[in-house]
Amino acid sequence: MREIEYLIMLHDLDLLLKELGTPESRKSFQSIGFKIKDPQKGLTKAREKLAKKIPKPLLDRYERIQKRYDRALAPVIGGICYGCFIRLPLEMSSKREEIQTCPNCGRIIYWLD
Amino acid sequence: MSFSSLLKSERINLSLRSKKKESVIKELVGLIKVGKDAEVIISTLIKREQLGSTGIGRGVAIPHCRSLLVDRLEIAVGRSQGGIDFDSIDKKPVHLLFLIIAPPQDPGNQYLLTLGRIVQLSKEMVKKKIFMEPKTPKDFIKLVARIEKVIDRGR
Repeated sequence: MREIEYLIMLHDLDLLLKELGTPESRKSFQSIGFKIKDPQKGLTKAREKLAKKIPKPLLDRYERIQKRYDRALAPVIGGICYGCFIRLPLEMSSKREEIQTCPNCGRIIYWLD
Repeated sequence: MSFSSLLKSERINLSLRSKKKESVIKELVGLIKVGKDAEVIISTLIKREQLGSTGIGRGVAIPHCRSLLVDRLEIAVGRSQGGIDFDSIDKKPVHLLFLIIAPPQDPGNQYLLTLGRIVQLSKEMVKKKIFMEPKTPKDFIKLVARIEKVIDRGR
């Protein structure tokens, strides 16, 4: 698996931790019929394990952008960064296998199309 | 928007082969995504299951998560004749599964509304096991549409 895929996996896990992270946020799911434990107890170790698979400088960059924007990663669809909705330079598309950041907002981008 | 209008025939498997939770999640995700994308989503769904089984009882499970790898609500449906060990709330095997993957950005919180709708629908569908009746995915969608109408009339 590539670094970007581990980053996406980490981001998805962070979404899960955030969405179900407080008793209030869990309530809306519990009222539907789901039984949910506090993710901080159940998934902290899983997050640590996953984070270890990402090189430290990249992980630090992720954490930094995450603090700033709440979402460190943004999809690119049709050449548009869906973090800030700016059209990306065409040449970036040919380097989609590399870790890239949006030149406008600085989010780490991944190509969804 | 009705739930039945979100269903696609090619994402309905009425003869699931899996017998275990992890393998059935893989089988269902395979209807939506393949390759590394599928692996990432499966990993998140399994982590969600660690917080409590999405097997809500009466033979129904609704595995769900949000993922950066989708840009709209994605749904897959599975049915198992033999039943799946899903560690459900009532410990009974699961026969009917709805898999939901939602994007992080979700105006109107369609994710939560859809989950609620499925819980409501599945309660009707497991009555007299009518979910076992459809022979094809198209028949299944028709059944869901029919039940939705009944639920909405009762409001």
